Amino acid sequence: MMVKKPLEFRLNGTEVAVFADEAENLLSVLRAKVGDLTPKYGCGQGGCGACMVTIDGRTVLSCITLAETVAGADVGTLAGLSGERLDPLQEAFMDGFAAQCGYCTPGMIVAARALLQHNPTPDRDQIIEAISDNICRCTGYEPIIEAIQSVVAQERAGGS
Amino acid sequence: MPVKIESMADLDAAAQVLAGDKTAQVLGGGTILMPRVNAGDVALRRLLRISDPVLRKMTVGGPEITIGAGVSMADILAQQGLAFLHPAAVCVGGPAIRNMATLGGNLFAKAPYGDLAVLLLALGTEVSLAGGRTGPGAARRDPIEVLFRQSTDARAPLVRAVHLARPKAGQVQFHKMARTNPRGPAVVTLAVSLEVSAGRIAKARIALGGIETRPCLAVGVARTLEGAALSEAAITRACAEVLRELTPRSDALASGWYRGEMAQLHLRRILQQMM
Amino acid sequence: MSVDFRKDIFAKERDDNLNEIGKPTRRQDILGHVTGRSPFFDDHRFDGLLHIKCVRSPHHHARIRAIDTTRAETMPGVVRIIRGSDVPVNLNTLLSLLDFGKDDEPVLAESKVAYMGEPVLAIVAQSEAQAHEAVAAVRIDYEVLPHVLDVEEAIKPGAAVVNETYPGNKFEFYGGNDHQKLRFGDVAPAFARADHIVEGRYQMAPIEQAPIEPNGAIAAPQTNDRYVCYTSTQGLFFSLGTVAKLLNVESNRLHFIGGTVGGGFGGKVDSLCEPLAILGAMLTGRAVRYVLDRAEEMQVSAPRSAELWYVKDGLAADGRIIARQLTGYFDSGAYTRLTGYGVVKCIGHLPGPYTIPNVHSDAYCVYTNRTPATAMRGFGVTAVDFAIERQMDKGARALGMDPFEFRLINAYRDGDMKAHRRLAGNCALIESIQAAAERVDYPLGAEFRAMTSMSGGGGERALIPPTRTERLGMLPAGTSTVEVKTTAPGLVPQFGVDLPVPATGLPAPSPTPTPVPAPKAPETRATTYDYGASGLSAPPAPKEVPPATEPAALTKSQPGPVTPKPRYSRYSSLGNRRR
Repeated sequence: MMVKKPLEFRLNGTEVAVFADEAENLLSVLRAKVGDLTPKYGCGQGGCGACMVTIDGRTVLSCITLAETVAGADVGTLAGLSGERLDPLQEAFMDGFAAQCGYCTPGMIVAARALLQHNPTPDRDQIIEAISDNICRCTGYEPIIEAIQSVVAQERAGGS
Repeated sequence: MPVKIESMADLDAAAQVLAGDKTAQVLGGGTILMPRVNAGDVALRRLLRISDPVLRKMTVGGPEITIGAGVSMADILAQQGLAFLHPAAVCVGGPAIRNMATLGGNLFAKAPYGDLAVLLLALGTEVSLAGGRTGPGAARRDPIEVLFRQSTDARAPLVRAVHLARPKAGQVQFHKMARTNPRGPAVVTLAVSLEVSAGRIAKARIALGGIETRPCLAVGVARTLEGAALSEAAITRACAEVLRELTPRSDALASGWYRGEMAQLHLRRILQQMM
Repeated sequence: MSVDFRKDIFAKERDDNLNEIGKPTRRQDILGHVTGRSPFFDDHRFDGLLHIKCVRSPHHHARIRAIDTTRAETMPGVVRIIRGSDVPVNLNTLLSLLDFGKDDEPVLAESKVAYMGEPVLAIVAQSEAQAHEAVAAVRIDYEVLPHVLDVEEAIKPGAAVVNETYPGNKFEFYGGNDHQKLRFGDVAPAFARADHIVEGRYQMAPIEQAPIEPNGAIAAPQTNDRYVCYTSTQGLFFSLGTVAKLLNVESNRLHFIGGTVGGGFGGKVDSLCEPLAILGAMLTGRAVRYVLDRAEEMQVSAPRSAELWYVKDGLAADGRIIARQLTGYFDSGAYTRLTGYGVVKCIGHLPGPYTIPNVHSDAYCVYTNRTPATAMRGFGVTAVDFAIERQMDKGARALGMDPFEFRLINAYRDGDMKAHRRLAGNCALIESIQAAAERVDYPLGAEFRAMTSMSGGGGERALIPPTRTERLGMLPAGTSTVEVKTTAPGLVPQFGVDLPVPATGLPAPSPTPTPVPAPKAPETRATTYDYGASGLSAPPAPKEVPPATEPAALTKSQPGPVTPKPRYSRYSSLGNRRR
């Protein structure tokens, strides 16, 4: 019998309680135990960004985050971004053709939202830096950067 | 038996465990060990998570700076008092990796990783170790290069913190050359510290990453510079010395030959900037 | 990023009043992508899901003396260990569905391993961690054999035999040929009268497709003795046919669900995971998941093949290339996969986009003890283009000419005869070079700025020269006539061509293709394509359009006596792929 460790945390604002396997990573817990399939497995090495989530508002790679380290923490995924309405980033990605195969998209949007949370008016270089953990192998970086820039422009216009 | 994770609240107790069990290793931010856990590396048997707050402590106000081994790259980047470390800390992965990766992990990262360690090496940093493997002398400090002469895996000492003096303005230059930007592992990482007195270089420390498995000091290069004024001729002499003492490694990113050429090129550029 | 549509070029060949083309539109699947709800294969959950990890060869080449699974069998969580002998038909070649190549690759190695990372056993366990532990507990006794990792070494006499199906380490193409040939004109006298001879040797490394979603499949038993398989494959029907053959089951017992692919780029056509996932489900009666991890993706999922090329050009002092000879070696790795097909594609691409009256080319598909190679974005074309374009730079240097201008002199004009006996049409290379030069402020001489691909071609340049062949000796010049039909605005001009007798001495194809009855397709859902995607999700379903008559000059397929058999048509999209 494998050791199971009880684990409680908040996922997108909702309390969850699961049993994690010994040495299980957060991505596996989110997908297989909780059922949030928005973070994706791409490499298991923290190298691609497809599994990106936030812990207490800071981005991490969930595939190399030991699940038990999030006990009591606030975990955020793409699933928490949209309620009845889509996040402006999601709308911008749709309008700007900023997804091809769609596999990197959840991580990209989580990274972009975390950036805008801390810096609502990033310049192009700051956007590139902010998504530098995330690989888009369809190499659609330009539309992704432009989609994020368009949200920055909207928020600037809305705020003024 | 699959890998087992143990949580420990006390650093010195963890050091005792490490001393008694050669298979045990310390899990910090997870960026180095978790990929191995995920890949089913059966050599990993016992991982220690250490929650001792001493690992997260930073003292930046005074003349001597102390940074706990559990401090993350993001923590360092949030600290304006550590601005001289920012050029290296910001090179470590992207923002999410920097939220996770710790200073302690960086000291044990194998090439082509470990960029911050290269800068710390040039700055003449000392490390203090937890008790246990190195005996009860927890207060003992070693020059950081002692770490880099040891194995990266089993039997590695448990680092409590690093200690260094704040460099003078213009004393240190750091440069990382990568194939992909803004985020990519190093072809070569260089950090140069020059202490100048009366127009002459009194003390030089030149550290390189990517060249050997661990960060290394180019002692011979430093010797050609010491006592001289920083001139084009001195720079040429220094660059010519690089491959006399170092044999750069080859990997998927770059051949040893290319690394050697890039090490000389970027050393020249850094020294010219410091002229 | 701005896209520059050069509407001044080929204006009469394009219709700007189409309803969809040229108009911005939303992808049909994008809402799923931005909300993370697009159903990739791994986004399906099953109770009691089992996991496969493979025991892989640590050697490039070794005979398997004995396999000891005693310890692994009793380890916690281990449900089943699958050996090669458990695979009903443990030998296949991917394109056997097209009658291309002989069966040469096992799903799990039985008697020997031919590349590092080749799977020998598949361990089915309750968790991935337990499967990993069991993999490490297996002991295999190998007799290490000499290996060969270089294409030129591999075809020397006495080289290690990589693949017993092809003892000479060379693939056999249709008709038993060990290479693909292209003969056009006669290079020897042209080299003799050339003002310059330029030679080069070019090598390209394998390239990993590295899609972010790895290769993977989840299979589960369904009612009625059927199996469902969620898969990342780029070729759903192709993968289904492969599994039906390997597991010796009727294809209607397999229910494949895919179409949402997290990047492929050619790296997901090999059906690496589906056979073992389904076999695992058959042997255990449970849902089984088999996914490559990133290290496996890099080590054992097939890349584009490495290539080695020798190119020799005969140049006239005025800048014309009068002869080009190319010899290429594709490194297929240990098994065939798609590299032989890549060689066929390559031959159709030579000698590059330049009008050269004498061309001689031989291309080989060679086996080595490296990771098997497969499709990857323009495989068969991109690497030789690298060789050709470096050779063009070298040629320009030898002539003391500007490399842009050297290319402009030799570029195809509309109506030119290509070396593979098709007329060139819509050749935008000249205009593309001019536009590139303009973009980067590269100075071109006035005569080069005035060049156009739309004039200067045809006539003499449309002729097929007398051609020297090894088998049939000298073939007489072919003839062809070109007639550019006047077209109404907005219609593509049609090149009507009387095809000459091809150099193979075989009759020209019948102008009317034999109608092929449509076979009953196995049940497969959620895909609007089967083999044509290059790693993107399903495109919008095509609208019904009335059938169009293809202009004769653009009809595909090599001329030859082979009449398509009806069963080919099930996989007919293989011939139409675009990547």
